[in-house]
Amino acid sequence: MSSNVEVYLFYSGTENPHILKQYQEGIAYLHEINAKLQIIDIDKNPEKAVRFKIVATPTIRIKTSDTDHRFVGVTDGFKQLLLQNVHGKGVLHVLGFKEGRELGKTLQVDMDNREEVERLLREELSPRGFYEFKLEIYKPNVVYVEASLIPDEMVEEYGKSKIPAGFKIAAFLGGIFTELFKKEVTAEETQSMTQGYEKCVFKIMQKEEPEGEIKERIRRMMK
Amino acid sequence: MKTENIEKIKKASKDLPEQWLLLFIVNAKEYLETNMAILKEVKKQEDIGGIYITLNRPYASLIKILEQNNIKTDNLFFLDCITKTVGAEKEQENCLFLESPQNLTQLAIAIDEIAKAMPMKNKFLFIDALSTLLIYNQAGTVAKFLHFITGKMRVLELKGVMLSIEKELDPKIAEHLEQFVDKVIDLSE
Repeated sequence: MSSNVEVYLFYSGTENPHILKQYQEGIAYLHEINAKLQIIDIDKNPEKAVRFKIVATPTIRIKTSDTDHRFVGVTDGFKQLLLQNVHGKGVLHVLGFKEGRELGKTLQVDMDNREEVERLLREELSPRGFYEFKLEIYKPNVVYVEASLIPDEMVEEYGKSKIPAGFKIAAFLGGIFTELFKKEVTAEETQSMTQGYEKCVFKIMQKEEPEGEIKERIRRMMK
Repeated sequence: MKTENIEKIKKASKDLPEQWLLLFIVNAKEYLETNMAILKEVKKQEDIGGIYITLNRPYASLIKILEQNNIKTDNLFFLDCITKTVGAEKEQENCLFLESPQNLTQLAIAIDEIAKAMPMKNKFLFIDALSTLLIYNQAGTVAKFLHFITGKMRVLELKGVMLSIEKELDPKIAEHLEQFVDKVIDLSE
């Protein structure tokens, strides 16, 4: 898949002189996955700016086997943006969940001790860029948690999102709590800083659709 | 993809019993390409339709990839376990969006109901990928699910393909699975 990825970086050497330094980590990642990368200074190549219809800089075009997206004005989080667009949300969710389970396996805590769970997770999550972790609602007996945190970087921060965008963080928390509860749990973001909230809130629980409803949906599909 | 692996895929689909179940161990780097090659081989059979369980790639993205690989989707039904976890789904006539990859009861019900309603003579179940089920679920839960589903497949006369990414398959599950599958084809080397 990686060899099918093409990335074009359009920037202006005069207007965005430091942008390539800011993109350094993402550029290294593109080399690592053997993606085709073209870096174009439109001051030196104005004809390319016209050909690719570039109206503002920096502009990033990410082309994969099934998507072709443009992003304008990205200065931070270029690598995160690449990860999401190159691998797709599905794969990122899987990877986030896996990462969470790996961390969860290393943690030992009495799940009935709310303060202890909160303290441990705050300590573990801060070095990973997730600050002020707090258990807003905690009901271990029914496997239900609502937790909040402040992530240091969110891809969607460039254009405020109408819907929660922290699915990878949700997956990560889902993985952690799967190990802590030793039960299958799902996690979803219920409010996000990308929507303008002060912190991100995640709901972690066991989720099941009633048998009757699923059968009815199948019946409609197979009509 | 290596020619050797294409040959292995073709060879694997020969000399099989009426109802068969194959497990392919796939290299992560060549995962998508190998997946498409296996699906193409399975679909070569006459009057065959299938249920494709997608756990890594949302239906909307998968369908584009299948089209690019010239794989017809009119005789495929999709069970998408990932879209609802990463965003909103848009209802599709050949896809059922399930709540999450953790809800194996829901998945089992869906397989059962769809297989019974499919009109084709030959039917198959394609699990993409078993290793992802193990990321979202406890190994014991997946083992129970596989035990149930492999039995169900025999009853429903479903042929089966399970994909798994190398190294991510729990050794205990792998050992357990060998009892149920007809062949294990290692394409990871």
